[in-house]
Amino acid sequence: MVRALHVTARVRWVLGPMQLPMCYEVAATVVMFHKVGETANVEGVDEELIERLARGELAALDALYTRYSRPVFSLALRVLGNSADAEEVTQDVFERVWRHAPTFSAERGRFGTWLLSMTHHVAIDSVRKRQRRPQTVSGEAAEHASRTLADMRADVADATMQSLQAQQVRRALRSLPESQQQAIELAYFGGLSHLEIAAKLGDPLGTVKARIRRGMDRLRSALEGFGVEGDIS
Amino acid sequence: MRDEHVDDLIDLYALGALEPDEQGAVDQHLDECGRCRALLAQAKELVLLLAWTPDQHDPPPALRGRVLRRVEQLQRLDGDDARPWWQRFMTGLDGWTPRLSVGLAGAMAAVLLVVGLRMVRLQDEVQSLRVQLQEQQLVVDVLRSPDSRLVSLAGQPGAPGGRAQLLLDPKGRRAYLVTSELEPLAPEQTYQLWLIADNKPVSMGTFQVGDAGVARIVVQADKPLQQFQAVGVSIEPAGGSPQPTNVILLNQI
Ligand SMILES: [Zn+2]
Repeated sequence: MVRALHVTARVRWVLGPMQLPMCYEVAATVVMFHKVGETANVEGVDEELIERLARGELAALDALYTRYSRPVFSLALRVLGNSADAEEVTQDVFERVWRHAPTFSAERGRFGTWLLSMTHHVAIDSVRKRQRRPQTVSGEAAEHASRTLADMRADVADATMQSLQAQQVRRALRSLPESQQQAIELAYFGGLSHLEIAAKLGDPLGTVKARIRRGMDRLRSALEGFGVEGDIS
Repeated sequence: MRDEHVDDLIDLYALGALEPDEQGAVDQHLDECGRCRALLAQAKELVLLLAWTPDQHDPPPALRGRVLRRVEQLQRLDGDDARPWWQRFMTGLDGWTPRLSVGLAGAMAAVLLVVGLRMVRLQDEVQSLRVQLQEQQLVVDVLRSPDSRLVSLAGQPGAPGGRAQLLLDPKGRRAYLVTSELEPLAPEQTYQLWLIADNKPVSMGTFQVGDAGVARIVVQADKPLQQFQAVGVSIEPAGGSPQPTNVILLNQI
């Protein structure tokens, strides 16, 4: 907790992109042959909308809402479990989009990634607040973190790639052994630590850790060739 | 000294599934290991994709209007450049409206004092008692004024959290601040208290918090408190800053 705070402050002072090396190599030709998802970012539409929003055009926010309210709401709903809370988070997220539009356009990031990452943080924060659990990442830190993520290499075909990968990941996730899928989902959508997951499921300590790692490894190999896997030497 | 690589914990770290102490250990390693940072970056990429995997549902149609109306409202507020920076900051505090409890005295203040006093660590009992007496005297003095009021400082949802209450007599120069649930800070950081007059923040000193995030501070201003418009708490590098950089709590006086 202390550490998270520390990071918050440091990031706010530096106000520049943190160094998060991103290994995200993609075979662009593969992308061309796949169906484009509804939130695909064709020809930098998102960037243009963000720029217009930064100039104060609310019609641009309307357009972004049309493009992204579905995945944002769905993620919030998955985390929070009820529509009312998910709506609140969705509203909060689009308000932040408006607020951060001026800085975002400067960063030329991937909007969809940034948006959903922010949605996840806001939703998890909200769940933890409801459970009165200490927050390991503050909302503000989360925001900065997600803005940093937006600074990842933008040479990827953005949402086209994302929606394509989402299908792959969804399939891969659902093909995992039940227990691995459950552990990963409780961590990501439930905001739980491995100890909390173990307690919830009545599993021995260590088991959950191993399950998560095995599950993530399987996801990784299932998605090999889609840019998720990279070589570290 | 470089510790062992943390491969086993990278995925859990990226998922946010580590316990705080484990996370701290990994953070330390990451600070000095580029290899593991690169692994983490990859793991985060994978984790990010999970965001797109839930079953997809459309939000209720009415939500669009609510979102747009709310932002329109905020845009109007932000367009009003006549407002000082700290007021603009406060409208940025989502869903939080300034609360001002004018004249709310006795009960609340008594509770405040009791809570504050109970939390204190009695390391030096005599000194502590003396301080308590001074504080009690201050609270009594403030309460004696018919204008005394209690100002609640709240933070941003999702921000580090914590609360503070400022008991003051607008005509006086001294006030009493009690915080609760503020995170303990790393040694290289400190909390700093500010009063804001004519858009200029004036430092009222730095402080750390004890158990339960409690700190009790006697505020001594150089002019009557009614000449200040706002009170705030920020997180600063150890020793404090000339200007607040990371304001976490704020309200109008
Ligand atoms: Zn390492």
